[in-house]
Amino acid sequence: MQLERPPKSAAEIATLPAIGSTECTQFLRGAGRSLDPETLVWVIRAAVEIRNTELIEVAGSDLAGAGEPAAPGSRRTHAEKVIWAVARRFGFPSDAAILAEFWRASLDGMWDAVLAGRDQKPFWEANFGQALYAKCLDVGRPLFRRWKREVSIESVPPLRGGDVGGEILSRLGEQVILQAIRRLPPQEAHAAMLHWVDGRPVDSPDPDSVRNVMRLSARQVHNLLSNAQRRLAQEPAVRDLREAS
Amino acid sequence: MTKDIDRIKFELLNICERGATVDIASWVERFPEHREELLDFWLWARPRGESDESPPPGSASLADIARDALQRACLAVSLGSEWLKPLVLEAEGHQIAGQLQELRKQVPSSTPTSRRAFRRAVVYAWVIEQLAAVRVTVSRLATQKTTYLLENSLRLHLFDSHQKKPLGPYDHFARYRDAEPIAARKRWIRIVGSTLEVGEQAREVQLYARRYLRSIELALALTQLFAKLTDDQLETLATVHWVGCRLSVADQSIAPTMVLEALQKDTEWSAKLKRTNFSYEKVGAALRMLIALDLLRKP
Repeated sequence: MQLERPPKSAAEIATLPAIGSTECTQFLRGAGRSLDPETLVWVIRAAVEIRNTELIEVAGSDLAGAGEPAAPGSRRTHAEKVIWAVARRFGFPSDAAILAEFWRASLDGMWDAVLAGRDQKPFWEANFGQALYAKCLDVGRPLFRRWKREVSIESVPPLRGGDVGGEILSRLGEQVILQAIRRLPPQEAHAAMLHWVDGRPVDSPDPDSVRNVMRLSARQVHNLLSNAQRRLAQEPAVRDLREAS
Repeated sequence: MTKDIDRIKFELLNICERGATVDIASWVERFPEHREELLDFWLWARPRGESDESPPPGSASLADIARDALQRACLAVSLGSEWLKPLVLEAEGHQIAGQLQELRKQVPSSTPTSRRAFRRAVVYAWVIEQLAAVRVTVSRLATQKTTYLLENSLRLHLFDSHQKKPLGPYDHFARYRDAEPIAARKRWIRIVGSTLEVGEQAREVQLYARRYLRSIELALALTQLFAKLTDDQLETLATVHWVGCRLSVADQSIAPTMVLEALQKDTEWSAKLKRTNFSYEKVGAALRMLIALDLLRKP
Protein backbone atom coordinates (compact mmCIF):
# COMPACT_ATOMS: atom_id res chain seq x y z
CA MET A 1 0.00 0.00 0.00
CA GLN A 2 1.36 3.38 -1.01
CA LEU A 3 1.66 5.64 2.03
CA GLU A 4 -0.64 8.61 1.50
CA ARG A 5 0.37 11.04 4.17
CA PRO A 6 -2.21 13.74 5.00
CA PRO A 7 -1.16 17.06 3.38
CA LYS A 8 -1.03 18.90 6.74
CA SER A 9 1.25 16.24 8.18
CA ALA A 10 3.49 16.32 5.10
CA ALA A 11 3.83 20.08 5.42
CA GLU A 12 4.63 19.81 9.15
CA ILE A 13 7.32 17.20 8.55
CA ALA A 14 8.89 19.36 5.84
CA THR A 15 9.33 22.25 8.26
CA LEU A 16 10.44 20.31 11.36
CA PRO A 17 13.94 21.03 12.73
CA ALA A 18 16.37 18.16 12.18
CA ILE A 19 15.39 15.05 14.15
CA GLY A 20 17.69 14.59 17.11
CA SER A 21 18.67 18.24 17.34
CA THR A 22 18.01 20.26 20.51
CA GLU A 23 15.85 22.62 18.41
CA CYS A 24 13.62 19.75 17.40
CA THR A 25 13.02 18.65 21.00
CA GLN A 26 12.39 22.25 22.06
CA PHE A 27 10.02 22.78 19.15
CA LEU A 28 8.05 19.66 20.07
CA ARG A 29 7.88 20.65 23.73
CA GLY A 30 6.27 23.93 22.70
CA ALA A 31 4.17 23.01 19.69
CA GLY A 32 3.82 19.23 19.80
CA ARG A 33 0.15 19.24 20.78
CA SER A 34 -0.78 21.22 17.66
CA LEU A 35 0.84 18.73 15.30
CA ASP A 36 -1.07 16.08 13.37
CA PRO A 37 -0.92 12.62 14.98
CA GLU A 38 0.60 11.23 11.77
CA THR A 39 3.46 13.72 12.17
CA LEU A 40 4.02 12.60 15.77
CA VAL A 41 4.14 8.95 14.66
CA TRP A 42 6.69 9.93 12.02
CA VAL A 43 8.78 11.73 14.68
CA ILE A 44 8.63 8.76 17.07
CA ARG A 45 9.70 6.33 14.34
CA ALA A 46 12.54 8.62 13.33
CA ALA A 47 13.57 8.89 17.01
CA VAL A 48 13.54 5.09 17.33
CA GLU A 49 16.04 4.85 14.48
CA ILE A 50 18.50 7.06 16.36
CA ARG A 51 17.44 5.60 19.77
CA ASN A 52 16.52 9.04 21.11
CA THR A 53 14.18 8.14 23.97
CA GLU A 54 13.86 11.77 25.10
CA LEU A 55 12.27 12.64 21.78
CA ILE A 56 10.04 9.56 21.97
CA GLU A 57 8.85 10.68 25.40
CA VAL A 58 8.07 14.20 24.24
CA ALA A 59 6.26 13.18 21.05
CA GLY A 60 4.66 10.20 22.83
CA SER A 61 3.15 12.47 25.50
CA ASP A 62 1.62 14.65 22.83
CA LEU A 63 0.27 11.64 20.99
CA ALA A 64 -0.97 9.46 23.84
CA GLY A 65 -1.20 11.67 26.91
CA ALA A 66 1.24 10.95 29.65
CA GLY A 67 1.44 14.35 31.25
CA GLU A 68 -0.94 15.82 33.79
CA PRO A 69 -4.31 14.10 34.15
CA ALA A 70 -6.82 15.67 31.79
CA ALA A 71 -8.73 18.34 33.70
CA PRO A 72 -12.36 18.93 32.68
CA GLY A 73 -12.39 21.08 29.59
CA SER A 74 -8.73 20.55 28.78
CA ARG A 75 -7.69 19.26 25.36
CA ARG A 76 -7.21 15.57 25.16
CA THR A 77 -4.55 13.97 23.02
CA HIS A 78 -5.24 12.27 19.70
CA ALA A 79 -5.00 8.78 21.19
CA GLU A 80 -7.17 9.61 24.20
CA LYS A 81 -10.00 10.78 21.96
CA VAL A 82 -9.98 7.58 19.93
CA ILE A 83 -9.58 5.18 22.86
CA TRP A 84 -12.32 6.96 24.75
CA ALA A 85 -14.66 6.77 21.76
CA VAL A 86 -14.13 3.01 21.42
CA ALA A 87 -14.41 2.51 25.20
CA ARG A 88 -17.83 4.14 25.05
CA ARG A 89 -18.82 1.95 22.15
CA PHE A 90 -18.09 -1.15 24.23
CA GLY A 91 -19.74 0.35 27.33
CA PHE A 92 -16.52 0.07 29.36
CA PRO A 93 -16.73 3.46 31.15
CA SER A 94 -19.32 1.98 33.53
CA ASP A 95 -16.66 -0.34 34.99
CA ALA A 96 -13.43 1.32 36.15
CA ALA A 97 -11.43 -1.92 36.23
CA ILE A 98 -12.35 -3.02 32.70
CA LEU A 99 -11.84 0.55 31.42
CA ALA A 100 -8.32 0.59 32.90
CA GLU A 101 -7.55 -2.82 31.37
CA PHE A 102 -8.85 -1.68 27.99
CA TRP A 103 -6.93 1.60 28.19
CA ARG A 104 -3.69 -0.19 29.03
CA ALA A 105 -4.04 -2.84 26.30
CA SER A 106 -5.03 -0.23 23.68
CA LEU A 107 -1.99 1.91 24.44
CA ASP A 108 0.30 -1.13 24.41
CA GLY A 109 -1.18 -2.15 21.07
CA MET A 110 -0.65 1.37 19.74
CA TRP A 111 2.96 1.47 20.89
CA ASP A 112 3.63 -1.99 19.51
CA ALA A 113 2.39 -0.90 16.08
CA VAL A 114 4.16 2.47 16.13
CA LEU A 115 7.46 0.88 17.16
CA ALA A 116 7.04 -1.84 14.50
CA GLY A 117 8.01 0.88 12.02
CA ARG A 118 6.93 2.30 8.69
CA ASP A 119 7.72 -0.79 6.60
CA GLN A 120 5.49 -3.06 8.65
CA LYS A 121 2.70 -0.68 9.65
CA PRO A 122 2.72 2.26 7.20
CA PHE A 123 -0.98 3.03 7.59
CA TRP A 124 -0.41 4.47 11.08
CA GLU A 125 1.17 7.45 9.28
CA ALA A 126 -1.63 7.64 6.70
CA ASN A 127 -4.54 7.80 9.12
CA PHE A 128 -3.58 7.46 12.77
CA GLY A 129 -7.14 7.80 14.08
CA GLN A 130 -8.47 4.98 11.92
CA ALA A 131 -5.51 2.69 12.61
CA LEU A 132 -5.87 3.19 16.36
CA TYR A 133 -9.63 2.75 16.14
CA ALA A 134 -9.12 -0.64 14.46
CA LYS A 135 -6.54 -1.63 17.07
CA CYS A 136 -8.89 -0.62 19.92
CA LEU A 137 -11.70 -2.70 18.39
CA ASP A 138 -9.32 -5.66 18.32
CA VAL A 139 -8.32 -5.14 21.93
CA GLY A 140 -11.86 -4.50 23.11
CA ARG A 141 -13.64 -7.49 21.52
CA PRO A 142 -12.20 -10.24 23.75
CA LEU A 143 -12.46 -7.99 26.81
CA PHE A 144 -16.11 -7.30 26.01
CA ARG A 145 -16.90 -11.02 25.73
CA ARG A 146 -15.14 -11.78 29.00
CA TRP A 147 -16.82 -8.83 30.70
CA LYS A 148 -20.26 -9.91 29.53
CA ARG A 149 -19.59 -13.47 30.70
CA GLU A 150 -21.27 -15.69 28.17
CA VAL A 151 -23.69 -18.15 29.70
CA SER A 152 -23.95 -21.72 28.44
CA ILE A 153 -26.88 -22.37 26.12
CA GLU A 154 -28.13 -25.12 28.46
CA SER A 155 -28.91 -22.51 31.08
CA VAL A 156 -30.98 -20.39 28.66
CA PRO A 157 -34.66 -21.42 28.67
CA PRO A 158 -36.07 -22.81 25.40
CA LEU A 159 -38.18 -20.46 23.31
CA ARG A 160 -41.91 -20.43 23.79
CA GLY A 161 -44.36 -18.47 21.73
CA GLY A 162 -43.28 -15.95 19.11
CA ASP A 163 -40.19 -16.29 16.99
CA VAL A 164 -37.28 -13.91 17.68
CA GLY A 165 -36.05 -13.70 14.16
CA GLY A 166 -35.80 -10.95 11.63
CA GLU A 167 -39.37 -9.83 12.21
CA ILE A 168 -38.92 -8.94 15.89
CA LEU A 169 -35.44 -7.56 15.36
CA SER A 170 -36.63 -5.31 12.54
CA ARG A 171 -38.79 -3.48 15.07
CA LEU A 172 -35.83 -2.59 17.26
CA GLY A 173 -33.47 0.32 16.63
CA GLU A 174 -30.31 -0.55 14.71
CA GLN A 175 -27.98 0.22 17.61
CA VAL A 176 -30.04 -1.91 20.00
CA ILE A 177 -29.96 -4.84 17.57
CA LEU A 178 -26.23 -4.50 17.03
CA GLN A 179 -25.48 -4.36 20.74
CA ALA A 180 -27.65 -7.42 21.41
CA ILE A 181 -26.01 -9.40 18.64
CA ARG A 182 -22.51 -8.40 19.74
CA ARG A 183 -23.21 -9.93 23.14
CA LEU A 184 -23.77 -13.36 21.56
CA PRO A 185 -20.98 -15.97 21.32
CA PRO A 186 -18.87 -15.25 18.22
CA GLN A 187 -20.28 -17.78 15.76
CA GLU A 188 -23.88 -17.11 16.78
CA ALA A 189 -23.22 -13.38 16.41
CA HIS A 190 -21.78 -13.84 12.92
CA ALA A 191 -24.72 -15.97 11.79
CA ALA A 192 -27.26 -13.57 13.32
CA MET A 193 -25.66 -10.55 11.72
CA LEU A 194 -25.36 -12.14 8.30
CA HIS A 195 -28.91 -13.55 8.30
CA TRP A 196 -31.09 -11.15 10.25
CA VAL A 197 -29.28 -7.85 9.71
CA ASP A 198 -27.63 -8.34 6.31
CA GLY A 199 -30.57 -10.40 5.05
CA ARG A 200 -28.47 -13.21 3.52
CA PRO A 201 -30.13 -16.57 2.87
CA VAL A 202 -28.90 -19.53 4.90
CA ASP A 203 -29.31 -22.55 2.63
CA SER A 204 -28.71 -21.05 -0.81
CA PRO A 205 -25.76 -22.38 -2.84
CA ASP A 206 -25.02 -18.73 -3.64
CA PRO A 207 -21.49 -17.71 -2.49
CA ASP A 208 -23.04 -14.86 -0.49
CA SER A 209 -25.23 -17.16 1.63
CA VAL A 210 -24.56 -17.45 5.36
CA ARG A 211 -23.36 -21.04 5.12
CA ASN A 212 -20.86 -20.17 2.40
CA VAL A 213 -19.61 -17.00 4.06
CA MET A 214 -19.08 -18.90 7.34
CA ARG A 215 -18.01 -22.10 5.55
CA LEU A 216 -20.41 -24.23 7.61
CA SER A 217 -23.22 -26.60 6.69
CA ALA A 218 -26.74 -25.18 6.50
CA ARG A 219 -27.65 -27.35 9.49
CA GLN A 220 -24.85 -25.88 11.59
CA VAL A 221 -25.97 -22.36 10.68
CA HIS A 222 -29.57 -23.17 11.63
CA ASN A 223 -28.35 -24.50 14.97
CA LEU A 224 -26.39 -21.33 15.59
CA LEU A 225 -29.39 -19.19 14.69
CA SER A 226 -31.62 -21.26 16.93
CA ASN A 227 -29.26 -20.79 19.90
CA ALA A 228 -28.92 -17.10 19.06
CA GLN A 229 -32.72 -16.81 19.14
CA ARG A 230 -32.85 -18.36 22.60
CA ARG A 231 -30.24 -15.98 23.91
CA LEU A 232 -31.71 -12.92 22.20
CA ALA A 233 -35.10 -13.71 23.72
CA GLN A 234 -33.50 -13.01 27.12
CA GLU A 235 -32.39 -9.50 26.07
CA PRO A 236 -34.53 -6.94 27.92
CA ALA A 237 -35.33 -4.94 24.76
CA VAL A 238 -36.42 -8.06 22.86
CA ARG A 239 -38.37 -9.38 25.85
CA ASP A 240 -40.27 -6.11 26.20
CA LEU A 241 -41.14 -6.18 22.54
CA ARG A 242 -42.32 -9.81 22.62
CA GLU A 243 -44.41 -9.25 25.71
CA ALA A 244 -46.00 -6.16 24.16
CA SER A 245 -46.91 -7.99 20.95
CA MET B 1 2.18 -13.62 0.76
CA THR B 2 -0.58 -13.21 3.32
CA LYS B 3 -1.47 -9.58 3.80
CA ASP B 4 -1.02 -8.15 7.30
CA ILE B 5 -4.33 -8.68 9.12
CA ASP B 6 -4.03 -5.25 10.76
CA ARG B 7 -3.82 -3.63 7.36
CA ILE B 8 -6.84 -5.58 6.10
CA LYS B 9 -8.85 -4.43 9.12
CA PHE B 10 -7.68 -0.85 8.61
CA GLU B 11 -8.96 -0.93 5.02
CA LEU B 12 -12.24 -2.56 6.05
CA LEU B 13 -12.77 0.06 8.75
CA ASN B 14 -12.01 2.85 6.26
CA ILE B 15 -14.82 1.66 4.00
CA CYS B 16 -17.23 1.30 6.93
CA GLU B 17 -16.40 4.78 8.19
CA ARG B 18 -17.04 6.28 4.77
CA GLY B 19 -20.58 4.96 5.16
CA ALA B 20 -20.25 2.60 2.20
CA THR B 21 -21.77 -0.88 2.35
CA VAL B 22 -19.23 -3.58 3.06
CA ASP B 23 -19.88 -6.86 1.29
CA ILE B 24 -18.27 -9.07 3.91
CA ALA B 25 -18.69 -12.13 1.68
CA SER B 26 -16.17 -10.71 -0.78
CA TRP B 27 -13.73 -9.89 2.03
CA VAL B 28 -13.75 -13.41 3.48
CA GLU B 29 -13.42 -14.77 -0.05
CA ARG B 30 -10.32 -12.65 -0.61
CA PHE B 31 -8.81 -13.53 2.77
CA PRO B 32 -10.18 -16.98 3.70
CA GLU B 33 -7.36 -17.53 6.22
CA HIS B 34 -8.81 -14.66 8.30
CA ARG B 35 -12.50 -15.63 7.87
CA GLU B 36 -13.52 -15.80 11.56
CA GLU B 37 -11.44 -12.81 12.56
CA LEU B 38 -12.82 -10.61 9.78
CA LEU B 39 -16.43 -11.58 10.53
CA ASP B 40 -15.93 -10.73 14.18
CA PHE B 41 -14.17 -7.45 13.41
CA TRP B 42 -16.96 -6.51 10.97
CA LEU B 43 -19.51 -6.85 13.79
CA TRP B 44 -17.88 -3.90 15.51
CA ALA B 45 -16.60 -2.00 12.50
CA ARG B 46 -20.03 -1.20 11.17
CA PRO B 47 -20.79 2.55 11.06
CA ARG B 48 -20.56 4.06 14.48
CA GLY B 49 -24.06 5.54 14.39
CA GLU B 50 -23.77 7.45 17.61
CA SER B 51 -21.63 10.52 18.06
CA ASP B 52 -18.21 9.91 19.52
CA GLU B 53 -18.02 13.33 21.12
CA SER B 54 -17.85 12.62 24.81
CA PRO B 55 -16.78 14.29 28.03
CA PRO B 56 -13.10 13.93 28.97
CA PRO B 57 -12.31 10.94 31.17
CA GLY B 58 -10.64 13.23 33.73
CA SER B 59 -9.19 10.26 35.49
CA ALA B 60 -5.77 10.30 37.11
CA SER B 61 -5.48 6.53 36.80
CA LEU B 62 -5.82 6.65 33.01
CA ALA B 63 -3.03 9.23 32.84
CA ASP B 64 -0.91 6.90 34.99
CA ILE B 65 -1.60 4.07 32.56
CA ALA B 66 -0.56 6.26 29.62
CA ARG B 67 2.64 7.30 31.45
CA ASP B 68 3.44 3.67 32.25
CA ALA B 69 2.84 2.61 28.62
CA LEU B 70 5.11 5.40 27.39
CA GLN B 71 7.88 4.36 29.79
CA ARG B 72 7.64 0.74 28.67
CA ALA B 73 7.73 1.85 25.02
CA CYS B 74 10.96 3.73 25.75
CA LEU B 75 12.35 0.64 27.51
CA ALA B 76 11.35 -1.48 24.51
CA VAL B 77 13.40 0.83 22.26
CA SER B 78 16.41 0.55 24.57
CA LEU B 79 16.17 -3.01 25.88
CA GLY B 80 14.06 -5.05 23.48
CA SER B 81 10.48 -5.57 22.39
CA GLU B 82 9.59 -7.96 25.21
CA TRP B 83 9.10 -4.90 27.42
CA LEU B 84 5.92 -4.19 25.48
CA LYS B 85 4.94 -7.53 24.06
CA PRO B 86 3.63 -9.60 26.95
CA LEU B 87 0.51 -7.49 27.32
CA VAL B 88 -0.13 -7.34 23.60
CA LEU B 89 0.18 -11.12 23.45
CA GLU B 90 -2.28 -11.32 26.32
CA ALA B 91 -4.91 -9.59 24.19
CA GLU B 92 -4.26 -12.04 21.35
CA GLY B 93 -4.51 -14.85 23.90
CA HIS B 94 -8.02 -13.86 24.91
CA GLN B 95 -9.16 -14.14 21.30
CA ILE B 96 -7.70 -17.62 20.96
CA ALA B 97 -9.06 -18.80 24.31
CA GLY B 98 -12.66 -18.41 23.15
CA GLN B 99 -12.02 -20.69 20.18
CA LEU B 100 -10.14 -23.18 22.36
CA GLN B 101 -13.11 -23.46 24.69
CA GLU B 102 -15.31 -24.33 21.71
CA LEU B 103 -12.84 -26.97 20.50
CA ARG B 104 -12.59 -28.58 23.93
CA LYS B 105 -16.32 -29.23 23.91
CA GLN B 106 -15.72 -31.71 21.08
CA VAL B 107 -14.42 -35.15 21.98
CA PRO B 108 -11.05 -35.75 20.28
CA SER B 109 -10.73 -38.89 18.21
CA SER B 110 -8.37 -41.49 19.66
CA THR B 111 -5.03 -42.26 18.02
CA PRO B 112 -4.35 -45.93 17.15
CA THR B 113 -1.12 -46.98 18.87
CA SER B 114 0.34 -48.08 15.56
CA ARG B 115 -0.05 -44.55 14.09
CA ARG B 116 1.03 -42.60 17.15
CA ALA B 117 4.74 -42.30 16.27
CA PHE B 118 3.95 -41.19 12.72
CA ARG B 119 1.46 -38.60 13.89
CA ARG B 120 3.92 -37.24 16.43
CA ALA B 121 6.51 -36.89 13.69
CA VAL B 122 4.03 -35.04 11.47
CA VAL B 123 3.04 -32.54 14.14
CA TYR B 124 6.65 -32.07 15.26
CA ALA B 125 7.76 -31.30 11.69
CA TRP B 126 4.76 -29.03 11.14
CA VAL B 127 5.67 -27.04 14.27
CA ILE B 128 9.23 -26.59 13.02
CA GLU B 129 7.96 -25.31 9.68
CA GLN B 130 5.66 -22.80 11.35
CA LEU B 131 8.32 -21.59 13.77
CA ALA B 132 10.78 -21.22 10.89
CA ALA B 133 8.36 -18.88 9.11
CA VAL B 134 8.74 -16.38 11.97
CA ARG B 135 12.07 -17.11 13.68
CA VAL B 136 15.54 -16.79 12.21
CA THR B 137 16.55 -20.11 13.78
CA VAL B 138 14.42 -22.84 15.33
CA SER B 139 15.99 -24.45 18.36
CA ARG B 140 15.06 -27.86 19.70
CA LEU B 141 14.05 -26.13 22.92
CA ALA B 142 11.56 -23.90 21.05
CA THR B 143 10.12 -26.92 19.22
CA GLN B 144 9.82 -28.98 22.38
CA LYS B 145 8.16 -26.20 24.35
CA THR B 146 5.80 -25.35 21.49
CA THR B 147 4.65 -28.96 21.11
CA TYR B 148 4.16 -29.12 24.87
CA LEU B 149 2.01 -25.97 24.85
CA LEU B 150 0.12 -27.07 21.72
CA GLU B 151 -0.69 -30.40 23.34
CA ASN B 152 -2.06 -28.65 26.40
CA SER B 153 -4.04 -26.19 24.31
CA LEU B 154 -5.55 -28.51 21.72
CA ARG B 155 -5.61 -31.78 23.71
CA LEU B 156 -4.03 -33.71 20.83
CA HIS B 157 -3.21 -36.74 22.99
CA LEU B 158 0.05 -37.02 21.08
CA PHE B 159 2.64 -35.17 23.19
CA ASP B 160 1.65 -36.36 26.64
CA SER B 161 4.92 -37.88 27.78
CA HIS B 162 6.81 -34.75 28.78
CA GLN B 163 9.05 -35.05 31.81
CA LYS B 164 10.53 -32.51 34.17
CA LYS B 165 14.01 -31.59 32.89
CA PRO B 166 16.39 -28.73 33.82
CA LEU B 167 15.13 -26.52 30.96
CA GLY B 168 11.46 -27.23 31.60
CA PRO B 169 9.07 -29.92 30.34
CA TYR B 170 10.84 -32.12 27.79
CA ASP B 171 9.73 -35.06 25.65
CA HIS B 172 12.60 -37.52 25.65
CA PHE B 173 10.84 -39.94 23.28
CA ALA B 174 10.19 -37.22 20.69
CA ARG B 175 13.89 -36.41 20.63
CA TYR B 176 15.35 -39.92 20.49
CA ARG B 177 12.66 -42.43 19.64
CA ASP B 178 9.98 -41.22 17.25
CA ALA B 179 9.05 -37.65 16.25
CA GLU B 180 12.49 -36.23 15.48
CA PRO B 181 14.14 -39.36 14.00
CA ILE B 182 11.12 -40.16 11.80
CA ALA B 183 10.77 -36.56 10.60
CA ALA B 184 14.48 -36.44 9.78
CA ARG B 185 14.38 -39.80 8.00
CA LYS B 186 11.48 -38.66 5.84
CA ARG B 187 13.38 -35.42 5.13
CA TRP B 188 10.61 -33.30 6.61
CA ILE B 189 13.25 -31.67 8.83
CA ARG B 190 17.04 -31.28 8.97
CA ILE B 191 18.90 -31.56 12.27
CA VAL B 192 21.85 -29.19 12.61
CA GLY B 193 23.17 -29.62 16.15
CA SER B 194 20.52 -28.25 18.47
CA THR B 195 18.89 -26.35 15.61
CA LEU B 196 16.11 -27.79 13.46
CA GLU B 197 15.50 -26.73 9.88
CA VAL B 198 12.73 -27.32 7.36
CA GLY B 199 13.53 -30.34 5.18
CA GLU B 200 13.20 -30.81 1.42
CA GLN B 201 10.08 -32.99 1.73
CA ALA B 202 8.33 -30.75 4.29
CA ARG B 203 5.43 -30.18 1.91
CA GLU B 204 4.20 -33.74 2.59
CA VAL B 205 3.52 -32.79 6.21
CA GLN B 206 0.81 -30.25 5.35
CA LEU B 207 -1.55 -32.93 4.12
CA TYR B 208 -1.36 -34.99 7.31
CA ALA B 209 -1.07 -32.13 9.79
CA ARG B 210 -4.54 -30.88 8.92
CA ARG B 211 -5.94 -34.24 10.07
CA TYR B 212 -3.98 -34.56 13.29
CA LEU B 213 -4.12 -31.04 14.70
CA ARG B 214 -7.91 -30.98 15.34
CA SER B 215 -8.11 -27.33 14.22
CA ILE B 216 -5.40 -26.20 11.84
CA GLU B 217 -6.49 -22.55 12.20
CA LEU B 218 -6.16 -22.63 15.99
CA ALA B 219 -2.89 -24.56 15.84
CA LEU B 220 -1.58 -21.93 13.43
CA ALA B 221 -2.71 -19.03 15.61
CA LEU B 222 -1.09 -20.58 18.67
CA THR B 223 2.14 -21.48 16.92
CA GLN B 224 2.46 -17.98 15.48
CA LEU B 225 1.95 -16.62 18.97
CA PHE B 226 4.64 -18.85 20.48
CA ALA B 227 6.98 -18.23 17.55
CA LYS B 228 7.28 -14.58 18.57
CA LEU B 229 8.69 -15.57 21.97
CA THR B 230 12.36 -16.09 22.72
CA ASP B 231 13.67 -19.46 23.92
CA ASP B 232 13.88 -18.04 27.44
CA GLN B 233 10.27 -16.85 27.32
CA LEU B 234 9.12 -20.25 26.05
CA GLU B 235 11.00 -22.00 28.83
CA THR B 236 9.34 -19.72 31.39
CA LEU B 237 5.91 -20.22 29.84
CA ALA B 238 6.15 -24.02 29.74
CA THR B 239 7.66 -24.25 33.23
CA VAL B 240 5.06 -21.93 34.77
CA HIS B 241 2.37 -24.00 33.04
CA TRP B 242 3.79 -27.22 34.46
CA VAL B 243 3.92 -25.76 37.97
CA GLY B 244 0.58 -23.96 37.68
CA CYS B 245 -1.26 -27.15 36.67
CA ARG B 246 0.03 -28.86 39.79
CA LEU B 247 -0.99 -26.14 42.25
CA SER B 248 -4.24 -26.98 43.94
CA VAL B 249 -5.93 -23.61 43.33
CA ALA B 250 -8.22 -22.25 40.61
CA ASP B 251 -6.29 -20.86 37.64
CA GLN B 252 -7.56 -17.30 38.10
CA SER B 253 -6.22 -17.16 41.65
CA ILE B 254 -2.68 -18.37 40.94
CA ALA B 255 -0.26 -15.57 41.83
CA PRO B 256 3.40 -15.27 40.71
CA THR B 257 4.51 -15.73 44.33
CA MET B 258 2.86 -19.19 44.44
CA VAL B 259 4.76 -20.29 41.36
CA LEU B 260 8.04 -18.86 42.68
CA GLU B 261 7.53 -20.61 46.04
CA ALA B 262 6.84 -23.92 44.26
CA LEU B 263 10.01 -23.49 42.20
CA GLN B 264 11.99 -22.66 45.34
CA LYS B 265 10.88 -25.92 46.97
CA ASP B 266 11.73 -27.94 43.87
CA THR B 267 15.35 -29.17 44.08
CA GLU B 268 15.51 -29.71 40.31
CA TRP B 269 14.15 -26.30 39.34
CA SER B 270 15.11 -24.01 42.23
CA ALA B 271 18.25 -22.90 40.36
CA LYS B 272 16.00 -21.31 37.74
CA LEU B 273 15.19 -18.54 40.21
CA LYS B 274 18.66 -17.08 39.73
CA ARG B 275 17.92 -16.47 36.06
CA THR B 276 16.34 -13.26 34.77
CA ASN B 277 13.62 -15.12 32.86
CA PHE B 278 12.27 -16.36 36.20
CA SER B 279 12.01 -12.93 37.86
CA TYR B 280 8.72 -11.99 39.52
CA GLU B 281 7.77 -9.86 36.49
CA LYS B 282 8.60 -12.56 33.91
CA VAL B 283 6.74 -15.27 35.84
CA GLY B 284 3.81 -12.85 36.24
CA ALA B 285 3.76 -12.12 32.49
CA ALA B 286 3.82 -15.86 31.72
CA LEU B 287 0.97 -16.47 34.15
CA ARG B 288 -1.13 -13.69 32.61
CA MET B 289 -0.63 -15.16 29.17
CA LEU B 290 -1.48 -18.70 30.29
CA ILE B 291 -4.63 -17.50 32.01
CA ALA B 292 -5.57 -15.41 28.97
CA LEU B 293 -5.14 -18.51 26.78
CA ASP B 294 -7.23 -20.54 29.22
CA LEU B 295 -4.29 -22.94 29.46
CA LEU B 296 -4.11 -23.44 33.18
CA ARG B 297 -7.13 -25.68 33.46
CA LYS B 298 -6.58 -28.91 35.29
CA PRO B 299 -6.41 -31.83 32.87
